Amino acid sequence: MRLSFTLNIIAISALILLPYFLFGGKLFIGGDDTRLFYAYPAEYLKNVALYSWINLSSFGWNFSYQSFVPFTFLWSIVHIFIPDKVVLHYFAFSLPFIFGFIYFQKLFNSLVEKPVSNYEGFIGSLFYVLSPIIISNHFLNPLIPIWLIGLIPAVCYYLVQYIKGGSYFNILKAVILTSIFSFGSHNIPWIGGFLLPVLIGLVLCSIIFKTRDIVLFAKRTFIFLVFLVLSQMFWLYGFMAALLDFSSSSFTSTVTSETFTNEFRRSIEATARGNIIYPLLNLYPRQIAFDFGWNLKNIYLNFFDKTYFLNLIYIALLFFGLINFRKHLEIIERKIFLILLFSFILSLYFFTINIGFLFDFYILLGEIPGFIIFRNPYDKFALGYTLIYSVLISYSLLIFSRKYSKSGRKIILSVAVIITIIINGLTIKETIVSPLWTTENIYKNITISKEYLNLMENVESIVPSTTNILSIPYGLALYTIIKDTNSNNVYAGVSPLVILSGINDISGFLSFNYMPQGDEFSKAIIDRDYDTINRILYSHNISFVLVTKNLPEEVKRSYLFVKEVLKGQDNTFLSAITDKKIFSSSEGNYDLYSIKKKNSLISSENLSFKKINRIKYTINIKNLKGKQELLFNDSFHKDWNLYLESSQEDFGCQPQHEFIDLNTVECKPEHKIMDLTELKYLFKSEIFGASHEKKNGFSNAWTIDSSYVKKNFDKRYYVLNQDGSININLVLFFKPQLNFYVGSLVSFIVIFFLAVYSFKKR
Amino acid sequence: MKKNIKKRNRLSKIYILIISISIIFWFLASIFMINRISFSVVTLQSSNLTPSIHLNVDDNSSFIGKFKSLDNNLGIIYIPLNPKTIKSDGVVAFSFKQEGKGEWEYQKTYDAKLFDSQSYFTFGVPILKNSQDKVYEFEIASSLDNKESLSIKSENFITGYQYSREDITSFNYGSLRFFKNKILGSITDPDFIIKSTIYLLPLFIFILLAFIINLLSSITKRISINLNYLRIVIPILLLFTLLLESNLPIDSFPILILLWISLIVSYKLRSRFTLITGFVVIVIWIVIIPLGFFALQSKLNEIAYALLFIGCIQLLAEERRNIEKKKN
Repeated sequence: MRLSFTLNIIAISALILLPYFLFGGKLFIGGDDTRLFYAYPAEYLKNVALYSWINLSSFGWNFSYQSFVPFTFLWSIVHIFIPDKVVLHYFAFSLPFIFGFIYFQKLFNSLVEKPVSNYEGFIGSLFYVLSPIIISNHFLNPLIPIWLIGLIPAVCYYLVQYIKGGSYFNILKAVILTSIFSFGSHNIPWIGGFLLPVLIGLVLCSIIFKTRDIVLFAKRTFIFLVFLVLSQMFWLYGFMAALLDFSSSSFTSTVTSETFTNEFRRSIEATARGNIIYPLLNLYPRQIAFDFGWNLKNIYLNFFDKTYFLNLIYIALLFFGLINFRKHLEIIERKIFLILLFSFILSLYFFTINIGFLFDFYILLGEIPGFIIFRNPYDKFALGYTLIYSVLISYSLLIFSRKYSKSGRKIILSVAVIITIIINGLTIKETIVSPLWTTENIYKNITISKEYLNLMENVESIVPSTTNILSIPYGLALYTIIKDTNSNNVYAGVSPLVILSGINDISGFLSFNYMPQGDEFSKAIIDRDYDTINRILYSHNISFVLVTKNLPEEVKRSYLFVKEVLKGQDNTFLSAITDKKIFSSSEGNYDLYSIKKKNSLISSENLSFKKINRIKYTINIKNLKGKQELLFNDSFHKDWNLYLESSQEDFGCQPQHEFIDLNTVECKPEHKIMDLTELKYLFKSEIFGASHEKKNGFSNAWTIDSSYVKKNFDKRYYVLNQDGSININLVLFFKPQLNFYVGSLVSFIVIFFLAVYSFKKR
Repeated sequence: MKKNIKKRNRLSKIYILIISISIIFWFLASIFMINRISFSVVTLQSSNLTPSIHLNVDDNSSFIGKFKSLDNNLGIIYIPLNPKTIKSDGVVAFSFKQEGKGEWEYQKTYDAKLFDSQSYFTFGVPILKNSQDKVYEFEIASSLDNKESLSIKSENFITGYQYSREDITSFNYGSLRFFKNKILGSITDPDFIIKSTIYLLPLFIFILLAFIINLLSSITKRISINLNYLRIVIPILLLFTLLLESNLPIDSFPILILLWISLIVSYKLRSRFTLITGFVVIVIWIVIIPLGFFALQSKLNEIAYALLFIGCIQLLAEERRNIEKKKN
């Protein structure tokens, strides 16, 4: 037992130290799910996580990033005790693996009736977190689903414990853990990649269980899941509301569209060309690495192609388990083993696809609405497959230990398996610390320079938070490139501008949220059609340009930029769209310019507006006579609502900027994080909703009518002027934010009552 | 005895209920959840319902079609294409008119890249309220060069009729007609029939559990590893080799599964036999990796998975038999 404890401490210490070995004291951030929140949690919480309307280097869209709130809040507190951002970041990097390592062992032990020793679980957990499949899929691009490495075994462990003992404490623990790491559970396709084969396995194996046991299992699983789901309402409610929105531009209508179905087929045909042998050897599918020229191809050529036969030990162990499990496992263990086995077989199929006619069958599955989320099975099923395989390997080791309990063979086998795991794990640095795709010498671990951080402070103080910045060079995704202090390494990921400064930028084609203006903008740059460019900049409320001048040439030639578009962003382009340089950074690597013709986020005749936060603006319109148009220049969404407020209250405007052409004044913003009085909009009717329409193919427009106000509202809601015109106060509010408030209330009540009930029942 | 009969009757009723529910689920899910027609009020009819539809190749890059509308509210023409990679700029022009009219009544151009790798393309026309029994003509022309030119897969295409929401929800003759046409259009479309088989999965799983596993769990005899083993393995291996080398028009994978299952049933083989054979196949495969026999590896991939899957079903069946044995 003492040896087992020592081994666990050594393994956990190694996982803590791993990022220091991999990244050499630099931050490893970037990618689609920028991990900046590991190092800048408070900034992420303040500028991104709290709101349902997201401008994360893109025009606005509705998404419930609130799943990040608990972790970023907790991590902001941890930051007080660990002030060094690198240490904080590295700790967050290691955390999912440490969780995965610990909870895997707990899960395995809970699935075993009579453990022989702790080594089976220990080896299984090493097999799991150091699997080349996990390394190639989750370590390489450590996107948010990486947190599921810890979260799935943890939740499964508490579920098993609850089913076995019925203690509500286990639900409470699962609920707390899931709430803290809720941004991990946000990744439904990866959870589905685990649950789908397990659920089918459970159904198939139901014939070997007594009806009484099935009923108890179903009942307790249901209770567990109900609590788990209700506790996540703070983000899930908004997420589901967005998911169930079938309007033309919604996420759901997109994923159920025929174009997406065709995309499913195309994606499967292009990627599912591997076979079952490499996954069985616990290696990532080989063919895909060669087809797409991934760095993994070199790792195969240099390493795995020479060592793969060692991994035959896993297959031999698995088959040994299959052939001997009946003799050496207890009844309940045998049943669990069979469930895992079926889940494994199905998982192997989903992960591979390319198995005779089963390939076409998978394409058929794509016809099921929503199955599109599994269009890249080599990614979505990788985690589930490895987890199930790891439990089976642990079980097989247990069977071996029981069969040869009194001989030294089990030690020899354990050592051989550990050595094989470690040999496979040797590729970890080469896999993770790999060059940016399509480059050879550009690595992705960097130290953000002081120059850049100072620039962020200056941008925050100069640029109003109601406008957008165009980042140049404008690229393919929504990425920004930040060069390392003393090397050519770069940060290549979602632009950190909004996180670090609170000001949104448009950095690439995807910033346009797949709207046609994205194509139009790129084409206009190539064609040097500056009228079109200026028109788009104006209609999309882009008033500043941030130019990065120190990009390594190799990055410019990478997949991140379209050659012709990059070529078009020269000095002629710059002078055609900007009027003056406002600011240069300390070392001259970044310049900030202002655009020739600036627009206002909100505009109408005699209008003043004030930003309260990302989802709320107060508006005052004076001398409203007849009808006039009100424009809100962010992406159109039907749930941006106008509410008429009492005109008795003082609007309190400190003018910050006056748009003379538009007869509009922008007041100093209030920066109020949130206001629970907004809950009144649950019951209050919007005004002018019938006139809400899309303008310029992008913005929101309403027709404001003074006679409608006078006819339908009493005098508290408007001030009548001598010429018959009126003054009104409006609030522009993004209604889905209420889902967060209501959902949070539900989560709080559920967790509170669960805690009280659990302690009472203890 | 009476108790047993009662139990069997109850079980039969449950079986009938589950099978009926599965069939109803298959029917409803197929009609309403196949992506092509879901969430819409479009009813589709396959062209082969009428002989008066023609699609002629006019020249290399132009197609002319003629068809008789089967219903009112014509709104969609759905053309099967041979998927081709289209990367160059170009346009595809679609023109449409009623037969006998001089000029095209409706014309629209599409960016040719929209046709990239598409196996179907939907051309929309303004909804024609009184289209039933009228003959229409259309032309599809592209400006693409020969290398990337579009080609139409078959003469059969699909016409779609856009009923208004009122027509569907009013529960009158219009809605009945919609459902009739939707069902008729669906069941006469072979592509739809193939796609609908995914919703047969619950029924398939039930049959697997209720019948196949029961059948396998009734196998009791255990084969000893002696000459009998070779007597079975040699012909099977020969058959595998034949399947591996042949260019049969049908997939060898389902044949292999059926063969192996019949072998298990006839010789009452245990799971151990299937699993060991599977393991041997995997080892052979790993050994031949450096030799680069890709076609062979591809077949071994199917064989190994099939044996693994069948072995697991056998394990489950044997476990069930064990439990029942203990019960008795």
